[in-house]
Amino acid sequence: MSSLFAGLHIGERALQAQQFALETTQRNITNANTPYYSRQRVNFIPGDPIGFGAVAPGGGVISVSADAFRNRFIDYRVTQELQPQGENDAVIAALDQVDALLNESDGKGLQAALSEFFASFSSLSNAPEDQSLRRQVLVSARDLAHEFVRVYEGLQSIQTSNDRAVADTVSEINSTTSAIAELNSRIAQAHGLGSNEEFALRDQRQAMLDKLAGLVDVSYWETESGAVTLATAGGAILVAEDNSYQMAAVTQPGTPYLQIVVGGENITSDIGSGKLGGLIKVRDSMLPDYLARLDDMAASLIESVNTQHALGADLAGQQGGSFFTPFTPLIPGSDSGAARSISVAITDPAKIAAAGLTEGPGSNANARLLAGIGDSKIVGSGTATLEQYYSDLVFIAGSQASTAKAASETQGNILLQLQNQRDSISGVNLDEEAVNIIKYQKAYQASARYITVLNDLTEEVLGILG
Amino acid sequence: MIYRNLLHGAGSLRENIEAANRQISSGKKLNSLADSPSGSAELVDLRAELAGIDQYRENAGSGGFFISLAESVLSSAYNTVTAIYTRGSAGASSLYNADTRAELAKEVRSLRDELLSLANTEAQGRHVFAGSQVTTAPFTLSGDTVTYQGDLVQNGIDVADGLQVQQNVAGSTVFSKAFSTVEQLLTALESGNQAASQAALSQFSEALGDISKARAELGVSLATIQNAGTEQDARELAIQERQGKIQDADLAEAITRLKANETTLEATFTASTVAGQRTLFDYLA
Repeated sequence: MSSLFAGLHIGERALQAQQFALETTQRNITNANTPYYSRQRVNFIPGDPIGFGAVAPGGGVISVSADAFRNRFIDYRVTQELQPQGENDAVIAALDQVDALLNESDGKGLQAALSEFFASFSSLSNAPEDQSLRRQVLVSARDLAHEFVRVYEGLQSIQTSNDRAVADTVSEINSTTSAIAELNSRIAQAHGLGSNEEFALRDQRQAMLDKLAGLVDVSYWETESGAVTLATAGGAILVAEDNSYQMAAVTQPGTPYLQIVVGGENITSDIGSGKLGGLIKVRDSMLPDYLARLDDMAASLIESVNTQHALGADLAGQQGGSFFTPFTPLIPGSDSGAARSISVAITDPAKIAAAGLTEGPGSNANARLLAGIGDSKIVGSGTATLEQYYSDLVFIAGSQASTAKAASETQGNILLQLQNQRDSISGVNLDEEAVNIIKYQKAYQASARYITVLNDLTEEVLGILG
Repeated sequence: MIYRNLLHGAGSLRENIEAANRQISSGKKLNSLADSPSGSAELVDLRAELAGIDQYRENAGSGGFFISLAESVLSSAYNTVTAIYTRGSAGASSLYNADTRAELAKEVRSLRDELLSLANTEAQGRHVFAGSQVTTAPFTLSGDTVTYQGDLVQNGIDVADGLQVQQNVAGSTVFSKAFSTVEQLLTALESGNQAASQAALSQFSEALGDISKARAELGVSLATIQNAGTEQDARELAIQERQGKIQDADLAEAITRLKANETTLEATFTASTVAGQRTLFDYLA
């Protein structure tokens, strides 16, 4: 202690330091339940000894500062696990709708309509001249055509609504990346000034990074300025320092659905995860597969029934015409469009060619053969009956949904573990804060006491002088 | 952290409870395709098979109706032809004079008309002995000559996978011999030619044979339908059992699961109120 007055100064600094520590503790306690808040710790830095000689008294606390507890590795892993979570949620939401179209537990649907259609030919074979049985064939055929169109359009509308969701998700991504770029610049500023505001800003940015990770698969890394650089899986930069590069969802020639473009480059196929990845996966890969299967079924049905129908004779003994409106491929060699456009060509029940050629109206030869198409392997290059092909589709849709659900559950558990781990590092522990309050309060009291003592001493000295 | 764990734990317990509840209220354990993709696909196959069985039953019923009808018509026809034969043998005896023979011929004609009506049997707009020309009566009478207008087409009907039965017999193969024999008999009776009567009578066994043969064919169809029906019932039962295994909830198990999850959920809440409540602040004055 070089002088009593210097001592008073040290005491004052000690009071300030303990007060700062108490404020930090209070901030921790009030934010105990704030998501993404990282608890702060006070660092006391002792001053150099003052004076020389054998007894070199201490210089007190020269500065205090706060530190936030963050583990960047865990933060990063949380974002990486949030990506498949967002993807699975999008896939599950879409497949739940598919389920409603394909699940026939109520005994209605495409399979029931197929069975009904072929059964109506079989019933007709019992009395082929019967007008009401003939009408029933046309009714069942129209129901079947309607069912194809209903399921097809239902699947297509899921595709369309996913496409709209792509646009919404892109704008959500853009507002998030803009916010991150803005935070980048403020963090760099606060960092430069050494301001404590940096911690709160980093907490906010982490929240934004988590939100973004649920939307799209990105990787990020922090630069020296404290800013993060964000890039998509394909390497397109979304944020660099205080700049954000907007994604755009645009229509492009050759595809009916929105494409994702960054800086003029189409990166749609690079997007593998997050909500956006899930939406694109459903829209561009799962549903097109289901739709193609329906088209294959419809095209095979039209072709086989029409071919067989032309080999029989109608009630008037005339050779059968087209039963279904013949399907003309829009793209040569492709069945695309068959399920959506299937319709029954015959309107007069007498025109159904139930009889064998050259046989009378009571012959059922052709009706039986038409009924038999239901049991013939006519789809998938002759590998499956219509019903088997459909049950394959049910299996595929069901297992894709169950895979997504199982993955989502696993993902949820991993995330929980990681978030718990993050909390154990960054979260506020109220017990610890209670101890800190006592500690800092006592230190404050002690410093105050020290000042009182110095004051007494100073009085003493002044008394001697006086 | 306690609250996040609580939320996660309670969330998955709630899901379990909801799933058990759904199973109990619907009686089904398969409520979405994802619950069991392979089970759902198999259900599609099983439902199609059941629909197939229903259709075979339908065929056995409405297709089989014409078979049993024809069979019973043939039974009457057999009796009618036998009655004609009895009149014919009486007329061939020397005890009968021209007057009584004319009386017999009248009776024979009336029986022949009965036979004609049987051969032209129509039900639900279908002449059952007309081959495929079902919309017109197959036999026409001109003088005492009966002519067949139908064809020889035989319909099959499908009553089980790969199993078809004959639905009809063409009228010409059943009745032609009978009608021509009766025509001969009438000529002989009215002319009083005993030798010709005997000759006509000798043809009756063949005419009756044709009818019996047709009856036998239809009888085979009916027996096949019956056997197929029994097999169908057994298959249906097996399919329904399989369906039940795939989709029906085990209620006892589901209720137990519901209770177990509810208890765990309550315990979780209790534990969290204890764990979440206390911090050091509670003990500081």
